[in-house]
This record gives sequence, structure tokens and C-alpha cells, in this order.
Amino acid sequence: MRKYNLISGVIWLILAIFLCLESLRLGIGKFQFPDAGFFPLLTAIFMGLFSVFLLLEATIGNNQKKEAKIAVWSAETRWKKIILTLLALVIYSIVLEKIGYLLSTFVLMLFLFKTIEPQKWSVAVLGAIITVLLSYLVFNVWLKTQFPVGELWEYF
Amino acid sequence: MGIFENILHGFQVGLEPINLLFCFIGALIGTLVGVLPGIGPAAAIALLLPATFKLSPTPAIIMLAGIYYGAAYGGSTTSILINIPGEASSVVTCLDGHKMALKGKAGPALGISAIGSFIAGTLAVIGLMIASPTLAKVALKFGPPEYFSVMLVGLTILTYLARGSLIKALIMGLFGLFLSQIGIDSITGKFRFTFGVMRLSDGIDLVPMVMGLFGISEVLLNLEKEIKIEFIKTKIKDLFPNLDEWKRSLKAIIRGTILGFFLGVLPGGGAIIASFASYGLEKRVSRYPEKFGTGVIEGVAGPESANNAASVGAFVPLLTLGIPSNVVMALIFGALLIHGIQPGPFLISEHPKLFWGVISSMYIGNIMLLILNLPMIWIWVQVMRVPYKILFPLILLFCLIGSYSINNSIFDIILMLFFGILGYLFRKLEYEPAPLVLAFVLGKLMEKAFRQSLSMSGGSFSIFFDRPISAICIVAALILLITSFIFYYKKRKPSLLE
Repeated sequence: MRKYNLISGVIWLILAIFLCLESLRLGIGKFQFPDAGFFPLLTAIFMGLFSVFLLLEATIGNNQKKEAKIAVWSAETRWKKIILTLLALVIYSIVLEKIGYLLSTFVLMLFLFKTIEPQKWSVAVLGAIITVLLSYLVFNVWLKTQFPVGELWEYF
Repeated sequence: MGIFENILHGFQVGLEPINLLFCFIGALIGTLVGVLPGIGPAAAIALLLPATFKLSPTPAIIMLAGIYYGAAYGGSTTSILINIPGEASSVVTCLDGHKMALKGKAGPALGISAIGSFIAGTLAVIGLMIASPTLAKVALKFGPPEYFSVMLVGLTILTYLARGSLIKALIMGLFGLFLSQIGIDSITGKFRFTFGVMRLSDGIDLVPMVMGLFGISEVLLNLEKEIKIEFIKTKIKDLFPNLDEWKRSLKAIIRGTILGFFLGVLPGGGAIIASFASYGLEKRVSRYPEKFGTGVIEGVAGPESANNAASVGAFVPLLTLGIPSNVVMALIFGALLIHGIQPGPFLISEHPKLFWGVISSMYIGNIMLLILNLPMIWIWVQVMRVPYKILFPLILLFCLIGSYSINNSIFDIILMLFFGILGYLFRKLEYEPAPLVLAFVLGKLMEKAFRQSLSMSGGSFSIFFDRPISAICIVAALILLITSFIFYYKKRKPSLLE
């Protein structure tokens, strides 16, 4: 954990410095008429201050030894599943408007049911079909959420 | 109108078929998200928020409120039966509730949890009914300095009560403030931190942020390891506690209700803190504190009552001051704004139908929840058996639909994924997302109140100390901050001196 506290402390400090500079660029105005950068500047100053505290906490004193022993990610972490899920969601967001809600969601559900936590094909296909149709009926038909139909289908 | 006329009017509204229907839907979804691990009331409300756009405000808020207090009922079921809290506010129920179940007393544990929740919920609604109009009158005297100071106290309390590192909680709050500043500055019209992305000019939407931080990140965490759920093998019988169990529980329920309600009212407080505080209180006043953790019914009755009372109490600052005290209240705050209703001291006088209708629906909702959670407990036991591998794709899909339907925009999905990854990292590195969300919601209001205060005073900060309510709040915030630093470093001191 100590290592990650150090890394996150540095990231917060960089963000705080960046915000300070950006706030000054926006203009801080006067106390009587604070400009757009005034409140962000205050936020950035305190953020910088606390990130320094975090860095000091992670470096000074022996508490760091105890913290160093706390593992953030264990060897059992199933990285593949996390990355594949995120990748699937990113691809889904790219193709959703192109191929439409029904097809893209069916493929996503099938992938999640079959690949991430593997199940029988029959369960995965049936699960994907039911999910897509039910969600479509509830949200698109009943609640009138406008799901994308798919730009590609316009060419057919 | 007197209070009785108002209550009567409220029940007329609450008993309208459309409001009854949405109260039931809210209670049902609330129990469902309480029972199911992996999706909490915040994510559920965020998901259903777009669905309420086409409703009139009263049924919309009735449903969202039902989800919130309903989740507090449902969360205890999983804590007792499988030792996995369905809700963060039911974590402490695992300690004695599950032990009772292992001893073959699952029935009384579930029973007292539902009955205690019902009593607490009902009494807290009476508290809400009495406290809100009074506080709203006081709030009429509030100006920008008072609003700024009260919000500052709320944020300080939330960081004060942070379970992990105080520094990290403060950083989260500041990060939330920064995120709230993204977009066009409402006073000067300047673009702030938009980096040329036009979609950011209106700022970041709350729903994709909450969906990501609480929905996506939870799924990613659960995917890390295989979830194995072990159900207890005993039959669930004798849901109604016996006389001895009643005697032991009643005082705990009353204590839990009072404590929970006040902790709920406190900006920054809420159901989680209330349940832990109640457990601590019960242990302290008990004649057999050493038995806590081995299956003591007071350890279930107190916290379960406290978390329900707190859920209702949290409505007080929202409906009277227009200040959300926790993430769920922040979402309901957003829902009210979407419907063109400004939460605050004028809400009761300008929208009495909504205010009294929502309050009466809470009485009705509590009765519905009692029926849903006692005679129909077997349904929820079956729901709990749905494996996570079936559940998680559904949670992900709900998050995707919820985010997309806000503006029918892919950008919101991308934003949600960004906050999902960020939320996952935050949780792994022990940064709590709650202060971030609350600061994000309060940020714009705080900044506006701050700048207005300085303009009023001609640039003098003394305005925050010249006005008594504001001065008390600022001093309280400072004391809280200083004492929390002292406690925090005292706790760490032994290791620093090693």
C-alpha cells in the first residue's frame, strides 16, 4: 500500500499544481468580485497541501513498514476477466450507435455470459436474448428511452 | 393549514393509485437492490433517474425515496442468511444476525430486523414531519454565508466519519469540488477545465459518475475473485420473535431509532454510520457486552432500526435546507432539480402536495416493506440464490442504459467507464468515493454561496464570522477538522514512534 500511497500522492500533487496554474490563467479577480479561477485556486491549494501530507505520511515514520505489507492486488486477482470486461464495454460504446442497441447488446451479453464467467451455450444465448428483449421492452417501449437503431442498417 | 390537515392532504396524495403503484415499485426495487450484492441504492436510483423524467414529480420522488429506505430493509436479509451484507448499512448486522442464523434463529433475526425497521421507519417519518417545517422556517433566515458554512460542515463531517485515511477522504472531497468546477462558470461565462471538449461545457453529469463509481467499480471488484456463497441449511421459521426476544429488542429499537434519526439529519451522516453507532451503543449499555458478536438479538434490532431511521432522517436537510447529506440524497436532489423543483426552505410552502405526499408515502411504503420482507421472505431467499455470474452482466447493462439514457449520448457511457475505472482504483487504494460525490454535488452551490458572500461583504471574509449561524458552523467545521487530525495522528502515533 505504501508504494501506491506514494504514487497517488505524487499524482494528486501534480494535479494540484496543474489546477493552480490553470486557475491563475483563468483569473482570480479580487476578493470583492472573485473571478472564475478563485475557487478552483483555493481547491488546488488545499489539494496540494493534503497531497504533501499524504506523501509525508507514506515516507516519514515506521508506519510505512506496516503499510508496505498490505497487498493491494493479490496473486489470485483475475486480471484477465477485469480487462476483458472493460474492453468489451469500450467496444460496446464504440459500436452501439453504428450497429444499434439490439445487436450490440446481444453480442455484449453473450460475451459476458459465455466468456467472463463461462456458462453453457444454451444458457448464454437464452440469457442474452431474454436480457436484450426485456430491456428493450422496458426502456425503449415502456419508458420511451430512445435506443440507437444503428447507422449501418440505413444502407440496407 | 395545520399539521393534521397537511397529513390528511398527504395521505390523499399518497393513496392515489399512481402514487401507490410507484411507492410499491420503489419498495420492491429497494428490497431487491438490498438483497442483491453488487448494486446499491445509489446505483439503482441513478439508473432509474432518467426513467422518472416522464413522470410527474410526486410519483417520481416517491419511487426514488422508496428505493432508498427499501434497500435498508433488504440489506439485512443477506447479512443474516449468507453473512454478506447486501448494503453497506447492513454490514454490522452480519456480526450477530448471521450468528443467530447459525444457531437456528434465522427467523427471529429476520423478523426483528423487519419489525425494528418498520417501527424505526414509521417513528422517523413522524420526526421528519415535525422537524422539517420548523427547520424550513429557520432556513428562511439563511443567506449565502449560512449556506456556505452549513455545506462546509456537511463535507467536514463526511470526511470526519471516513472509515479509512482522513487525508485521503479530504483529497477525495477536494477532487469532487474540482470536478464540480468543470464547465462554464455561471457568473463569468468562462470555460473552466473543459480542455476544448464541448460536451464538458455543461459540466459532468451526476448519473454517469455515480454509475461508474458505485456500479461498474463494484462489478470489477467482484470479478477479481470467485464469489462463493454458502447458505445456511436450517429452515427459516418463527419469524415473529418470542416475548423474551421482544423485551430485549424493544429498547434497542427505540434507542436505534432516536440515534439513527439524528445521525441521518446531520449533513454527512447517514445509514452506515447510524448502524455502526447503534451497535456500539447497544454493546455499551448491555449487561452482557462480551456476548455481542455471538448472536445477540439487540445487535440486530438496534442497527437495523438505526439505519432505517437514518434513511428517513436524511430527507430533513434536503427538503428544508436544500442540502443533500449523502450520495443518495444528492441524486434525489438532482431529480428534484430536473423536475423544476428547487429543494430548500420554500419547498414545503410552494410544493405541499409533493412534500406531504412523499411523507405519507413513507408510512405506506413501510407497511408495504413489512409485508414484502416478512410473509414474502421466501421470495428474497430465492432471489439471493441467483448466481453472480448471471447477475453481473445485468448490472453492467443497467449501468450502460442508465448512463446513455440521460442525454442519449455515447459520451456519458465513456464518462461512466472512466469513473468506473477510477472508482475501482480508488477502492483498491482505500479512497472512499462518498466524499467525492457529495463534494461534487455541493461544489457548485458552495462556490456560488462563497462568491456571493464575498460580494456582499465587499471582499471581507469576516462575513462568515459576523453572522451567528455561519460563525457557529465555521467554528464547528474547524473543531471537527482539528480534532479529527488529532485523533487520526494519535491513532498512528505508536507506529510513528517505533
